[in-house]
Amino acid sequence: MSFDLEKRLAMTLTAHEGSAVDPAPIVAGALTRGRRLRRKQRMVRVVGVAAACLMLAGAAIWLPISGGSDRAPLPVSALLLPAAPGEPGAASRPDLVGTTPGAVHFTVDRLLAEADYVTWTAGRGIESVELRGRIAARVMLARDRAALDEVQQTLASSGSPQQPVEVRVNGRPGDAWYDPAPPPGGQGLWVVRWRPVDGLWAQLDIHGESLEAVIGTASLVRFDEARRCVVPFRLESLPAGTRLQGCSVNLGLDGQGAFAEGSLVVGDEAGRWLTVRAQRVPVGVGNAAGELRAGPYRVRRQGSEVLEMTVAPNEVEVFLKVWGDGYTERDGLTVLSGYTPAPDVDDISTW
Amino acid sequence: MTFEEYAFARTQALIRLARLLCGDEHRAEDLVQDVLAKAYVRWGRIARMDQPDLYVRRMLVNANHAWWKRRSSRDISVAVVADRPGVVDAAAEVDERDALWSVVRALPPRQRTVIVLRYYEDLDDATIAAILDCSTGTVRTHAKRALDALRERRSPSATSLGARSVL
Repeated sequence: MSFDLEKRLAMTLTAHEGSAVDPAPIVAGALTRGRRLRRKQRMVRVVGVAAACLMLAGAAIWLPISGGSDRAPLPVSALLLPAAPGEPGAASRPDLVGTTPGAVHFTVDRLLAEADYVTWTAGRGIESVELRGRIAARVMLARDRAALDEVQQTLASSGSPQQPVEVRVNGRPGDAWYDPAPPPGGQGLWVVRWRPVDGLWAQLDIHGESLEAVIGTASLVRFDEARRCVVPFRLESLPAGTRLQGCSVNLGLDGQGAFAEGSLVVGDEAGRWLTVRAQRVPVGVGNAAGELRAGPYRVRRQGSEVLEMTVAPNEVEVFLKVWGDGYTERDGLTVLSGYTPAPDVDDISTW
Repeated sequence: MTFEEYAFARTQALIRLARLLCGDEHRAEDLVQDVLAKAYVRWGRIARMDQPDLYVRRMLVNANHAWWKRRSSRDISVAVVADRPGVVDAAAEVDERDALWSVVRALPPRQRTVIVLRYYEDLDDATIAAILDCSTGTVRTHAKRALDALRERRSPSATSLGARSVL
């Protein structure tokens, strides 16, 4: 009876989960409301800090103040990937763009001052960097225009782009279009797509109001150097026929160190793929236990599609579905068994 | 993972969960949007957690419970459903599922949440306890009470025509 009821419950709930919905308007609405909430919180914080400063200024007259922050703030350069000596930039070798998970063939050094977080991605036909902070922008490179069309938009907009207009970025041809902000307001999304050199397409998605400013930002993207796409771990055990296909790393300025999150995508010729993601977690968070074993590690199941383990300071997950397809749990354990952390998660030169 | 990547990847699943938790399609979308907006503000911290999705689901469950608390007390009438052993045709199967769904919807919020997380999300009791911020013992108690109630309302002895107030 109990088994029957439980089985019926699972069937009943699945039957009433409802139909698929388009997530775009819900995400767009959440972003708008979230930004409003954040602005409100910042306002409250600014007022609080100002009041505290006034009190401290008064107290400093007779109280000796010593010490300070126990950790120096990270420099903006912490958001940069390491140089890739010997690897050409996209301007001279556009044919290399998106072909290797080990490098991005462009850089955005002059935009980093506005960012608190960046996510660099390489491999599988696309190279990109997404910047968050006082700027909300993404730059993508691909060898053909169709590859850019297939990438999911990550910045909010109304989803009703206006007619494109022809533009020139550093003298090179392209077009730009504006997608108004989703209701109830906020900044609209500009998309600039241009050809920095023949055989290369670049795209800038950015929240902003003025086309001139957006073109100015696009002109700051540099294609004359390459950087290594790196994560603070290696995968030394892969199922037969599997190779590294993609790399993604998220670096930030307000964490314990610059590394926030890194992912490697591996796959094979048959179209199977999976994602291994390491996320930095606070000291003391994580769980060394697990019902499965992968090499030296204990591994836990997170539902039926994700395997996870803790290798301080990171939580490591293997996604067999959603961010993967076709590989079995056994394959996932094989991959995790070869997980090898970099010598120093806080020193990108050791990755 | 950026907030947008997470949101685009998980919104569908969160809405399905919210529909089962609150039983209302439009409120489910409102709940998810509200929760995602709050998650956006704290994303720097959430993204660093060992299981960001678990945390967001916890926010969703709490938002749903808060809505129930704010709501004025109201009875829900639920038809009592008899067990129908030997039912084989598809239409009867659908009827049975609809009837069982009505009973699930009528469970007290925390019991229904446990049932949904356990039998829809397929989560173990420890994970459910983490989402509900309670002990695994409490989860088992909610589950047992819910299953007892479901059995009672589906059993022939409890069969009667009409409706019954469950809240």
